[in-house]
Amino acid sequence: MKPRFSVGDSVRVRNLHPEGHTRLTNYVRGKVGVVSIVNAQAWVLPDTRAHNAGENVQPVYNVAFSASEVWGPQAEENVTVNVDLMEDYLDPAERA
Amino acid sequence: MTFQSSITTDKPLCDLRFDEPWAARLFGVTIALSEAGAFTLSDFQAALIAAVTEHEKTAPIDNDETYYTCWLQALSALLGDVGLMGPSALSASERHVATRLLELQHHRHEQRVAGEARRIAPLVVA
Amino acid sequence: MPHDHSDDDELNKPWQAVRTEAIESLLAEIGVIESERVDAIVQHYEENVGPKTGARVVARAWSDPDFKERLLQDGLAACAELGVGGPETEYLHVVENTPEVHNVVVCTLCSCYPWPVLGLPPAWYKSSAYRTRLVREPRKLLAEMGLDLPQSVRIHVWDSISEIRYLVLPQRPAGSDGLDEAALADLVTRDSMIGVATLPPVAEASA
Repeated sequence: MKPRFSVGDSVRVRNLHPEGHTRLTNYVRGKVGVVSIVNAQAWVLPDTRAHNAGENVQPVYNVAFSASEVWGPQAEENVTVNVDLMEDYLDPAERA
Repeated sequence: MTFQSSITTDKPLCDLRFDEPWAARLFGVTIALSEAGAFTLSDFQAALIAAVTEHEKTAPIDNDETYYTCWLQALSALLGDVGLMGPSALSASERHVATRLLELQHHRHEQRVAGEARRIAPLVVA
Repeated sequence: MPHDHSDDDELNKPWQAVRTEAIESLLAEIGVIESERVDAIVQHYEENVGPKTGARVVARAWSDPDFKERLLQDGLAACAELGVGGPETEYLHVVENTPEVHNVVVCTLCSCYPWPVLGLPPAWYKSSAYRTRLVREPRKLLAEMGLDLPQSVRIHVWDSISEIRYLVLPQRPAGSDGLDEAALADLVTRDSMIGVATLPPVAEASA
């Protein structure tokens, strides 16, 4: 499986609201971060399996978000939040 | 209340135990089911997330009992989803366990009565 | 012994205990699981696996730079060299604390935790308070937990919501230079491997 994104790429988290199970945390929806780790191994997208829609295999990326991007002006300074996200959850983005 | 008042300190590196025997069994049953291929731990994680999310709509998780109760809700739901144990089979099995406990209780009661009778008997002899 | 319970406990079971027993007995009856296996799993997690396991990994990383490199590269493969691992975790990512960067682990969605290296998670790790506050105000929460980090230290909060589990490699304590691996392992706390604590300097033996 060839990953779509590389370390250092800016990505925006899609604003998805699928029904049922999802591991897309609410607080990063729509936010822009930078890919810090590419896990190119095949992964199962849990949303798909939870809906018995077959196993949708794709890479998982660790994306680093600055706290101010996620929480706005009230965020603590010098904090990064690292979240693992499936490729389907991400779109390419201009550098924030 | 600060967070500190709700946490345990980490003095010795002692291994952790379950507070409640049922939580230990629940944990073991879940791992055993994943080993047996009934579902993957990833499937279970998704079910646990759903149960935790549902619980936290109305109340926080602030102790192990609440947490493992969510775990139990997750496992009950997942067993239904994978077709191993639907709600009616689960209820039937619960009634079976409850009946066994009642019988045990009744048995204990009879033992106690019998025990009391034995204690009284020797006083009759003059 | 938390697992010993009196006859009265047996008779006054909470509904959770009744349901758990109902699930286990029915699954055992239809042959999906064996109660002996459940016993063994519980015993394994209560007695064999715990923070001491992770402490052994950390002590090796401090003592052996090559091992540390392999550990940071592929956590699970390096742990396997020490006989540490388990089917419960497929990917383990070890994150290293430095004077400039402090790492701390949380799972905001449920309570994912690196079982094979740390055993069972503490109650506070699973609490709503920890899971919501650590991502939002880590510096404040860590201070409440007794860890005051200077503003200059960047905090990385790792939210382990996928299959990947995280383990913090704490900074080696000052004054621990002469210690062997076993002595080093004794210094490592569970909280330091979650990232809610750092390790204090080792007191001089003569002090």
